[in-house]
Amino acid sequence: MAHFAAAIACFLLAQALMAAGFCYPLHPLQAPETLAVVHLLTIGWLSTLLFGALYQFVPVITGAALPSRNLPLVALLSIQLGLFGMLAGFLGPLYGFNSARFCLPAGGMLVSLGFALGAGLLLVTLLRARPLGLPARFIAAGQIFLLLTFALGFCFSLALAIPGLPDWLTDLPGHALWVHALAGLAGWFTLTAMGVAYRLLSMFMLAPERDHSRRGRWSFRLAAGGIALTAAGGLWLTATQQRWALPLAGLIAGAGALLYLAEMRGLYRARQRRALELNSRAAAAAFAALALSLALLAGLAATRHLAAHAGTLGLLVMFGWLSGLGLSQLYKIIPFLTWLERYGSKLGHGRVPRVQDLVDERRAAPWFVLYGLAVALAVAADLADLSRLVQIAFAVQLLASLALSREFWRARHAAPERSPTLPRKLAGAP
Amino acid sequence: MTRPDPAFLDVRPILAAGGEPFDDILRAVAALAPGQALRLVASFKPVPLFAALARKGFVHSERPLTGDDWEVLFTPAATVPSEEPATAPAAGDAQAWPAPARALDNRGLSPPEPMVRILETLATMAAGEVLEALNDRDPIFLYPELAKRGHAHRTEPRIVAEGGKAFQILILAGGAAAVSS
Repeated sequence: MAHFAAAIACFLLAQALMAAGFCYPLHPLQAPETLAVVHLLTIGWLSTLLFGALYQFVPVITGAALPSRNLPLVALLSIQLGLFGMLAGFLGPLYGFNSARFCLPAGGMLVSLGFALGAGLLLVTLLRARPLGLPARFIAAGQIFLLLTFALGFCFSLALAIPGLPDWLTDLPGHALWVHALAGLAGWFTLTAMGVAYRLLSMFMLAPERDHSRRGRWSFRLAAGGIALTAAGGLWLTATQQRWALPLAGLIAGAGALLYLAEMRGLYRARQRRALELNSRAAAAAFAALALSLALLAGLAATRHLAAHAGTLGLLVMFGWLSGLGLSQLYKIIPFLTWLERYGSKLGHGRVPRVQDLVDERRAAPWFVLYGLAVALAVAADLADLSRLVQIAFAVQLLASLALSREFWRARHAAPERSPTLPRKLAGAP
Repeated sequence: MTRPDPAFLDVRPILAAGGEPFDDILRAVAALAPGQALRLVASFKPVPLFAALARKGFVHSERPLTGDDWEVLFTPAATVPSEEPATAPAAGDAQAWPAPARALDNRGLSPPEPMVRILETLATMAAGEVLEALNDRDPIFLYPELAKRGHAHRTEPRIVAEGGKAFQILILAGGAAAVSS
C-alpha cells in the first residue's frame, strides 16, 4: 500500500503541474520542465504503481514467495529519493542553482539502484517458478526492458553532467532519447501491464485462463520481439538502415499488440460474469486507448508527422492506456487487499462484508468517464495544436484523478460492518 | 479405504527450542499401527530423514508449506497404492485421509467468494473431517488463512469432465493443529 500511496501522490502532483502550464505543450518536449514532469509520471507514478502491484501479483501467479519482504520498501525509498534528486537536477538550473552536475547522476544512481533491486527480487522469483505461464513471460520481458530503460537514462545523466566523456556517451542523449522512451513506455510499462491484465481480467470476469492460447503466445513473441528489434535498430543501425528497419520492427510489435487486443476481446466475450464490474469496464476503455495509440502511431508514421506529434502519442499512451488501466485496476486491488487484510481472519466467525461493499461504483463511475473524456480532449486538442485547450483538459483530468483518489481512500477506510450504508463523510483525499 | 489415518507430528516447536527431534520421530514411527502413515511437519526439508526412514521401509512425499516449513508424508511401502500414477506424488497422501465429509463446487465464482465459502464451511466441521473443494484457480490467499487456523490441505490440478481445468483442494479440518498451537 505504501507503493500505491506514493504512486498516486506523484500522479496528482504531475497533473497539477501540467494543469498549471508548467510543461508540455506550452514548453517543448525536451525542456527541463517537461522532463521533470515526465519522470515524475514514469518513475514516481507508473513504475512505483507497477512495482507495488508486481510484488503482490508475481507470487500469486508463480506460487513462489519473494526472496525478501523488506527489500521492496528499501527499493521504494531509493527510487523516490533518487527521483526527487533527478527533479532537482532538471529544474535547479532554471532557478540559478548549478544542481544538474551533481543531482542528476546522483538521483539517477539511486533510482537505478532501486530499480535493480526491485527487478532482481522479481526476476529471482520468476526464475524459481519456471516454466513460466504466459502472463509471467510478459512480466519477465517487461523487467528486461526496465533494465535497458534505466541503463540508458543513467548514461544520459552522466553525459549531461560530466564533461570530457567519450564521444559515444556524449552523443547518446541526442540519438537514443527515443529508444529510452520506447523501452520505458512500450517495453517496461506496456508489456508488464499486458501481463498483469491478462490474469487479473480473467480472474475477476470469470473468463477461462488462456495460458495455452496460441494467439496469446504469438502476441507475446511479436510484441516483445518487435520492441526489442526497434530498440536495437535505434541503438546500432545507421540512419539509412533505420529508414527500412524501424518501420518493419514497428509493424512486428504492432501486430503483437493487435493480437493481444484480440485476446482481450476474447476474454471479455468468454466471461461467465454477465454484469461487468466498474474496474473491468474502465479497463475496456484503456484497451480502446491502446488500440487508438496504435492507430495514431501508424497514422503519424505513414504521414511522416511522428517527430512533430510524438508528444500527442505520448499523452495517449501515458494517460489513456497506461494510467487508465492503472486507475481501473487500483479500483479493484485496493478494496481487495483491504478486505483480505481486514476480514480474511474473520471469515467463518460471523457475518463479513463483501469486497464490493467497500466501494460505491455508482459514485465512482462518473469520475472514470470524466477522466476518459478529459484524456480524449487533451489528445485531440494537442493534435490540433491548441495548447490552451490541452491545458484546460489537463485541469479536468486532475479533477477526475483527485475524485478517484478519494474513492481509493474511501475503499481503504470504509467500515461497512459498522453501518448499513457506506459512511458519507470521511476525511479528504490524500 | 480401511487404512488407518496417518499419525501427525510437528517438530517445529522442538527445532525452535534448539532441540533434536530425531528421537521423537523414531518413537512416533515405532508407535505406528501396521499400515499407518506418519505426517511430519518441520521448519526445513528433512532430507537426512528420507534415507533413514527408507531403510525402515517408508516411502516419502514432501511439499513446501508457508515460509521455510515442509510437510512430509512417510507411508509404509507395502501400502502405497500401486495403481496411482507416478506423476501425482501427493495422491498417496490424500488417499490416507478420511473420505470427504463435505464437498463444495466453487467453480464459476469470482474471488474471494471461493475462500469465503471454504472458511465458512470449515467453521461448521469437526476436527478430523475432510472438506473437498473444486476451484477454478489455485487459491493462493486461502493457504495462509488455513495454516493460521491449523487446517492441513492438499491441492491438485484436475481435468474436469467438461474438459476445463480446475483445482481440487482437500482440507483436513484441524489437521495441522495437533501440536503446533
